[in-house]
Amino acid sequence: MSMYHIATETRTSDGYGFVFSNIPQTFSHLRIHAKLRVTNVGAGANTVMYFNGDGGTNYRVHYMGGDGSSIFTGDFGAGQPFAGIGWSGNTAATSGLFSTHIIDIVDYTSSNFKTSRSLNGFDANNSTTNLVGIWSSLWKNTSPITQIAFNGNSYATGSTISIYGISTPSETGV
Amino acid sequence: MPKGMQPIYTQRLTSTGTITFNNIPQTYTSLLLIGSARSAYASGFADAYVYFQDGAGTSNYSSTAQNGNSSTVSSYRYTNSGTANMFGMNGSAHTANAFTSFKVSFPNYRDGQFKQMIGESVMENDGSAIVCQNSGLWRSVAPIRQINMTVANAFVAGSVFTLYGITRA
Repeated sequence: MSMYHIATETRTSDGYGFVFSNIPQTFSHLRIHAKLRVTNVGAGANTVMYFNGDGGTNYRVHYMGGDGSSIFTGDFGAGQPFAGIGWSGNTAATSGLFSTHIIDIVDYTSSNFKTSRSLNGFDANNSTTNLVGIWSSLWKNTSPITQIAFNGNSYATGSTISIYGISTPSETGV
Repeated sequence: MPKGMQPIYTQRLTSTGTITFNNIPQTYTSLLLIGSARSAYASGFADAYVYFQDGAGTSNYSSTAQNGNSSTVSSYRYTNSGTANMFGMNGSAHTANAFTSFKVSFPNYRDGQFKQMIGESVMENDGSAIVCQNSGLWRSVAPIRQINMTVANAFVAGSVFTLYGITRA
């Protein structure tokens, strides 16, 4: 077994944010599974991610997505104060539906800048905001990631985020 | 054999180079490659390639990609190649310390059929960046026993590649 559960947070009432502190430094990679729905924003709601409490202008966010009729790509621009993980379930969607985000943070304890990669999808079960995308973010910091926070909107009861650690072997296969 | 995902091999480069995983165990159902890497290529983003034990001198591979570069989306295809283009890669002109995050899946790598693979990569940069999805085909019925990865001007020190085996329940 190489993928280990670290922590899960589930909202038991509507409200802002998820915070995971004291992330173990013993894994090689992190995998995050998120199921989200916001209660205060309609079509186009995004969820953002912060590392180690850094809300400074140290991030860059890019994406590519499709909405059922077109495909598009974008850049949030220089000096963003957060990383992006994609479009969240929102108030324009059929009640009770949540978005899915599968996020990989490879080599999260290294002294490189940290790149996150999020595969994101949301079917609203109506004609408003059906989206699929891949999101990419750069955190311009060489520190190991010890805390991850998610925010941007008020999240509905039942929204859940789980963090897993992925280990690597010592064998090289050379 | 334990079920689920098991680590097989990992390589972290301490100097510029390419990657080869040899003697891949023939006991799993599928393989998954996860990595963080950067190339020494100086002229922008680079394509990164995968080939197996038949070497890069064949015409046994084809691949298809779609990507978004922050302003436009595009798709392209390679046919009858000696390698499959399965992910992209940051180069030396991009933000220092920014590494590409990628994964490539090799489902049913021991089946007696041609092998399909699928890749996903994000080439982050404090400027224009590329997000990319790839699919590839190896026209061979042989089981995958060796995986090679290469890129223009090679991968730089600090690049890390990990191969996992996945066993069905």
